[in-house]
Amino acid sequence: MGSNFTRIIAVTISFLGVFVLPWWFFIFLLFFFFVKFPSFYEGLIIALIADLLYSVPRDIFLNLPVFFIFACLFFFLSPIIKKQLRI
Amino acid sequence: MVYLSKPHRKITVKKKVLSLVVLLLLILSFYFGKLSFLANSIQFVSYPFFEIKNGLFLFVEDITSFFEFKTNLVKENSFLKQELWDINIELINKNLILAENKELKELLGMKIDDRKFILANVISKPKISLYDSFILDIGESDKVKKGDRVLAGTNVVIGEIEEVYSNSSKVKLYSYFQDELNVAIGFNKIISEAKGKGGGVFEIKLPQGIKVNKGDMITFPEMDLIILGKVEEIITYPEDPFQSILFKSPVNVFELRWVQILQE
Repeated sequence: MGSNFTRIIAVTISFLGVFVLPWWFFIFLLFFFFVKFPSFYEGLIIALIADLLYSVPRDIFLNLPVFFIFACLFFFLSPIIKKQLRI
Repeated sequence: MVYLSKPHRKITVKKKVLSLVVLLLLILSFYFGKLSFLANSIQFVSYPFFEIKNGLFLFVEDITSFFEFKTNLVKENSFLKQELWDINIELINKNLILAENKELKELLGMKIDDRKFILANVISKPKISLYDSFILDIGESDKVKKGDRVLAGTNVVIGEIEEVYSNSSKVKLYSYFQDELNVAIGFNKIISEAKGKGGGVFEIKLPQGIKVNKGDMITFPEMDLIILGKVEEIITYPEDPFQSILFKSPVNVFELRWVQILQE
């Protein structure tokens, strides 16, 4: 119950973060939540929302969803990082 | 140590492969624009969140200004009065020149610009977005189209409309890192290519012989009275045959609350 509640809070914070936080802090927050919670797939959806909301074609990003790619990396790397940090 | 039995391990591997495939499919559909149908609904849903955020920011700003010292306010007031006086004199001068310019163009039979502007409220500022984009509160219902230029004031261009939704639109700033655009430098209108450096700063590379001065205005080749920036710095090295010209937009794009959309 407690862990579920903190997860809901984390999802709410990251969702509101899409509208309020600067992008670098939002990425940092997502990374933190991916490490903190097991399979934080809600973070993937929120990252995709951020991309759909703000993305404009830029040569440097090759028209790819940058937030979503970062979130995917965090999603797959978080178990390894957790193991290394022994969380 | 916990060892997973073979069927168990198979299921976890299957799950991982499946999630990887789903994520790759999502990335590909984004790349090919197949998720754009979601963007409109996300814009619609996000609108109240932006409104609440902006309202809260204004409320906090009001509260903090209430507690400012009286002496500071008096000083600021007299400074602003002086600035307003200077700007008014400059404006009278500018209006005279503009009227003269219009008359001369009429005499020469040149086409006179018939521009219409639409005022828009900035609901999401560029510092929030990694893409250097921002969102406006007007869209298709206000006849905004993709490619319309976005101006701060009436003559400083900062970007263009990239996507239009029913009640909002997304603006792409010109000064994004490594983005290229054609510009005209100074009175002689030297045509060149400028590269964005981020935060309203651009760089132009020109051969050293070409004369460019600090303070020269940068415009678009096809638009006379619309400014993109002002030359701030010219860097030359004896060993380099090229000079780097750094120019900056006269407005701070991070502090904009209102912009105008130019409709031609």
